[in-house]
Amino acid sequence: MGELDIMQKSDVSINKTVNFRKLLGSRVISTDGLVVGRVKEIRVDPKSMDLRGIVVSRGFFKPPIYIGRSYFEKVSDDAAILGIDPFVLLIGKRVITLDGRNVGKIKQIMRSDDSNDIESIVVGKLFKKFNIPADNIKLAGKSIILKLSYDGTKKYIQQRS
Amino acid sequence: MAQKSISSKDLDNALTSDDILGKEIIDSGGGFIGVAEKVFIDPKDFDFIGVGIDKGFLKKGLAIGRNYIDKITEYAVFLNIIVSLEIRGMRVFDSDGKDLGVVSDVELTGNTNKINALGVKQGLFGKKIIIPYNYVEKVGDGVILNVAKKDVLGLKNG
Repeated sequence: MGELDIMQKSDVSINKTVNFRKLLGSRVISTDGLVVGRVKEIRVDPKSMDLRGIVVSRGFFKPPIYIGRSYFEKVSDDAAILGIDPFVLLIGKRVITLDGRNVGKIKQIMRSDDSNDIESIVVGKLFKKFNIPADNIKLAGKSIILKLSYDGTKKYIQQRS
Repeated sequence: MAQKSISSKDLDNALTSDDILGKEIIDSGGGFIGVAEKVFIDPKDFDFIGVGIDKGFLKKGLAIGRNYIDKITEYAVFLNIIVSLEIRGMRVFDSDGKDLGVVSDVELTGNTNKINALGVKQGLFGKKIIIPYNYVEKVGDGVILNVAKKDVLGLKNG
């Protein structure tokens, strides 16, 4: 390949930029190192040409999500790395009480507007569904540990959503 | 049920082996490790020193010392660590998000939970790279390094 002619004012050097074509189709990684999906679309501001966000495809059965730029930590030629754990990763995780009892799995997540801030989680067990406010969550890791013991969660379990 | 007891201690509030056996073991990150199948007791002073964990069919069991146990509740046993051996099989990314492979080996320091180095394998026949633990930035659902891929590969040759 021939030498690349460069025409620019005193902008950032080309070596410090990212190739969009390579970025398309590359992985999107959460802060915890889990692959969220792959880059499907890159959205750019029409005026300033800054990156505004990325549409992430998550396989055949799951709907794609648009993630705004403020949630990204950095992009490189090979991957886009998020600064957060997106809420979609929580869906399907086990919910256990403080004393270790399994109360169900996360079916749905209620957020404030379109942000990543969780307001409450909808937990399903068999055919029951119930709502647990987010301030009762002690830890969200491989599973969700609540601040309540099983007796404390009973009042949420009884009021179905 | 009232039961007669000959003991200087209050046995009513004591845990029994039934309370521990068969319970789920959950690590500090909320991960499910396995089910308690054994209770280890020191042969000299009869103290409780650990639990043995059944990790399921075809998987090797694991024994965990008592100082790694956070609490024992009605439904589960909580650990105060994330078991380092569970890292095996996780995907490893460098600081740019480049895929380095999958953790195939975990080298621990002694019999503790501290990781010394990770063995990472790329593909089925790929070469194994040894990565010292100080290059690891974060361990969650995957492993993220704080160096670029080419630095890691250079490290193996040097």
